[in-house]
Amino acid sequence: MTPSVASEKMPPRPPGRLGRAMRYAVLLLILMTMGSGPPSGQAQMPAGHAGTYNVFPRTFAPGQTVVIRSQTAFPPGALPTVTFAGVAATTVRTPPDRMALHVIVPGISLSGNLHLEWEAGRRADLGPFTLIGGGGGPVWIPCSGSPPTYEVVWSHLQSPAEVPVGTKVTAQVLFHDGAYTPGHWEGETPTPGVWPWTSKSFFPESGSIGRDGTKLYVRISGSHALDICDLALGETKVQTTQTGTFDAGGANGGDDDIKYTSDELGPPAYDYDPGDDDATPSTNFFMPLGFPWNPLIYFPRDEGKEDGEIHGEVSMDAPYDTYELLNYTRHKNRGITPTLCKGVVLVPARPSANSQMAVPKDIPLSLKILSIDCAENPVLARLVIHASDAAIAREDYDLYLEQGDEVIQITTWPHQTEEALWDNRGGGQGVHSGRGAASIKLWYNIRRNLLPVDQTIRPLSLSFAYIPTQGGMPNVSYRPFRMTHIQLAPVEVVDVKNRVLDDGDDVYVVPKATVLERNDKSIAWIEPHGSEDITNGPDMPQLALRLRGTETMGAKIKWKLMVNYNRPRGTNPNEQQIRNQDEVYIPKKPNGQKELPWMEEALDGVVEIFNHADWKTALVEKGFFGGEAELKFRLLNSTGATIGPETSMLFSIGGKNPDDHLVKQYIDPAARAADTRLERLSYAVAKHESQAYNGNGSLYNEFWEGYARRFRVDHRKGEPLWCLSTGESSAGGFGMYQITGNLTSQFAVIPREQFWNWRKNVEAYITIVKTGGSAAKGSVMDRFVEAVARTYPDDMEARTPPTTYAYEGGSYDAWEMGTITLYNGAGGCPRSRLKNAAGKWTQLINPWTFNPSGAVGRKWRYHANSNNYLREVIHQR
Amino acid sequence: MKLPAFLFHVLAMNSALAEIVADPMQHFRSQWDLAGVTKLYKLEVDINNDGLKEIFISNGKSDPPDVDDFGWQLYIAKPGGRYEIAGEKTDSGINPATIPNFKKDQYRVGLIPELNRHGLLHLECGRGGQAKCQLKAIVIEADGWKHIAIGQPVSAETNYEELSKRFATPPTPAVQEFTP
Repeated sequence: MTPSVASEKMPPRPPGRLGRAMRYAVLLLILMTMGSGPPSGQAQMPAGHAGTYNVFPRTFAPGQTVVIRSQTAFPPGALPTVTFAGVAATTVRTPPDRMALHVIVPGISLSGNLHLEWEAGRRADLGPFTLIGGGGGPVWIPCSGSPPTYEVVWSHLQSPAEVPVGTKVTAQVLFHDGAYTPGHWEGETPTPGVWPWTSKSFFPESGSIGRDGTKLYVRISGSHALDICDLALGETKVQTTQTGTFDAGGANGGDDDIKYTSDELGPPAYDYDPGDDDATPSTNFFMPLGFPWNPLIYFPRDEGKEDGEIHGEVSMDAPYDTYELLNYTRHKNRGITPTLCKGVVLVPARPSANSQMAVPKDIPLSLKILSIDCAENPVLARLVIHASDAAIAREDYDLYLEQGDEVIQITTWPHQTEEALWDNRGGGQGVHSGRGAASIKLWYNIRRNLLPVDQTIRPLSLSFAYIPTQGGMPNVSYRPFRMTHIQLAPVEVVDVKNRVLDDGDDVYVVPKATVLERNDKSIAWIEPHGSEDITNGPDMPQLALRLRGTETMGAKIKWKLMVNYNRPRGTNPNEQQIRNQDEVYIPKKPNGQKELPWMEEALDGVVEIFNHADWKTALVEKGFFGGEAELKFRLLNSTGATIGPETSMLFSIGGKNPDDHLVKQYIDPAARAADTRLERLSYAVAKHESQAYNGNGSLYNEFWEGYARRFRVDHRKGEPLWCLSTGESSAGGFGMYQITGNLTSQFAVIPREQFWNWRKNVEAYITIVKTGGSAAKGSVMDRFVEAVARTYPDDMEARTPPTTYAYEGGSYDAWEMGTITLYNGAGGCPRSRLKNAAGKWTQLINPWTFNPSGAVGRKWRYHANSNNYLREVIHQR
Repeated sequence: MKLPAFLFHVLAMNSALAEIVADPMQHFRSQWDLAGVTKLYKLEVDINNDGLKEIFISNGKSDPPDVDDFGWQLYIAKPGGRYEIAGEKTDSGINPATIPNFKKDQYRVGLIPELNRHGLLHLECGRGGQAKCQLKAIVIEADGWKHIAIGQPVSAETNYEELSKRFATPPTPAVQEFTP
């Protein structure tokens, strides 16, 4: 990692810059030459391109759009035939740039069988192809079908070259075509052979990598080069860098053979100094793992944002402080969204005798964070270190900031030994500073792995050294340098999933700036099939508060969590009952106490909220919960005195919808166990009740999958599906079965778990139709049949309701039909006047009528309710 | 069943239904289950425009319970101050076992343009997110009542306001309340 240095103001052009520019020009010439024709060794595609391409096993949802990109444009007016596993894509179209096919897949699982066929003679140099979009995991289209063309945009060594089989390599790449999108490519050689590499095969999509036609820059040191055709987008399995083999292009990156220009590599689009064409391109073109789906977070200075200040200045005297900054994510074609990042600034105790404070007090340093992508791995941070002192005489942006014999040397190398710091300086890496004046600012890009594979967690760290010099050079007699550190430890709300921290599946929950902020990454998800204990059952997020790097502070933390769901009220709401259900406090709020108590514990790096007794009790007593969450915490020193301000983390707990087939797998046996007559239609009830609320074709919707206003209520992504038709009097329907009140009252406040836990929603349905006692719909049917028999005792037919009633093309049992209909409500059903046991007339509402004056064999008749519900359900089968 | 026997059967059933009463309220109180009932509801209105006011009576109680739509025992007014207990006119004759239903505060009585006949107009809506609403009319035919749907069912979420415009003001005459 090599940081870059740039001056905030336009600096004077230093000696040697002209020579560098000349080299850039040469490189440009080389690049132009290379782009003018097929590179040597490039395989030509046969005329009338057709080929089958292997694709890693992958499942496509029906109707999913998959993008197939080609190296070269598809001929205008001639759409290729695209076939997946022998099934033709339903729609194939090319966007205006004709570089990509958009195909609608039929919804299949496939492996090794994407087929493209082309009109003969129209184009000869298509491919290689890249599939982007849909599903999870990477898509590889290896070279085994038809040999793809390749083009090495630039390598200052041989091209193509080879790396040993099985070598895992990492390269940092930058596509720069006006939009800054740093990329990080990783791959490995799975089989002997070479990987043809082409810049154009490395396609961007939706702000993730770059764009077609962008330049790919890879600088390869040593004797290795790349020869690659497979591209793993979103791949995370390759994480080991062959150290020293690859290096990103950029200034200060090592040897002098730097073949790029600032126009090509930088400055990025958010250049802090527009117009400064001398801005040094950074070598830190890292992309978070999970790339390309995770966008880079940055602070767009040109938009006038000034967040990111760490309380003005880090005094170096305060042992700890907290920081809070607002980052901005620029999405390609989708504008900018803010992301809140919070953390703790750790300034360890003042240097001991062996580790003296290196920054004299009369040269105050302040630290400003421009951005920290604390949601991604590795963390990408951009900082400004501001050194100001009236005695500092002159300004330059060369290597050192001089003051007499003294040099302030600021490095971004964390956790280096002092010796290593010195050594690295000589190698040109890790040591960067600026020649300063009364006030200078140094800009850094810093990357630290906060979630490294080896689980060695360290906070982002800066080291400051104040190094005396002798004759303009650092005075080596002062070695080892005396340093001090600032650590920026992000405070993270983490869903640790299976109650095990750091086992690779932890999910970082990005805090929100406001409750109303919409950020999918700020939702801790109730996983529909994430249960460790119940097969395919749902699971609450396992929340923890992490403060990396605080393990050895000897400090304490106090915290409290509040979760509240603003349940849609429907009509006749009982506010107290709603609050009792939907407000969750950890620790539990004592009765009658307004203020929520704090939970205080030793700070060992993580607060396992999910292990707190009150968290467990809340789940046991009332089940799953969700909504808007606020986690407050405050750091205390070992004596209990507060250090740092009270900090609040806002996020949401929301639900994801279960998989359709797993829902049916659960409903069928549950319905059968209640009554075999319910098995046939119960799953279809859930389909119908919740269909299409998350787009046409969506079924079994327990939760909203977007933000909108429906049924006169604003709902948020991950909140329970809730519907209440205009004019309807009830509490409204929740979840996939649209549970509306209970068997006692349609206005009843239903338990929260019936909408946060999809299986409880199913169970509520079973209760309503069968197991809920005399009020259950099945019991209503039973009473109706009994009343008919009682009222017309001499009519044999009155005692034998039909069991094979022809309806909507099928044959159904009267009880089954009536029970399912009554589940939706009896609105629109006939009212029958039948006798009770006392011989008095009573009114029964039922989809069935018995007409004693009707023709024999036709006295029983089914009537649809207002919604024609039974027919709708049957059509969902 | 042979035709003569069938006709006899139908006539017998219909004649048995033609129960005539002088005091509908007294009749209702004596015949209907009033256990747990706190109010009786009565609507007296001429729905077939024959100059005589029919009487609807309900105890507001049903199985399953329904707080919106009440079922009503309909007494069709006859000359001479008498009332006939009405059954539903169906394709297979009068069904004595069914009674009409409508909300006690959402109905209109008079000429129904869509049918060009007099009747009681009301709105029925189902429940749930997929709920539909349907305009319906209760009319009198021969000695029975009949439920006629007007137009097609429409979405309760999006079309309720339009449909309910016809019921924007309190209905007249209003339903009266009595103690059981």
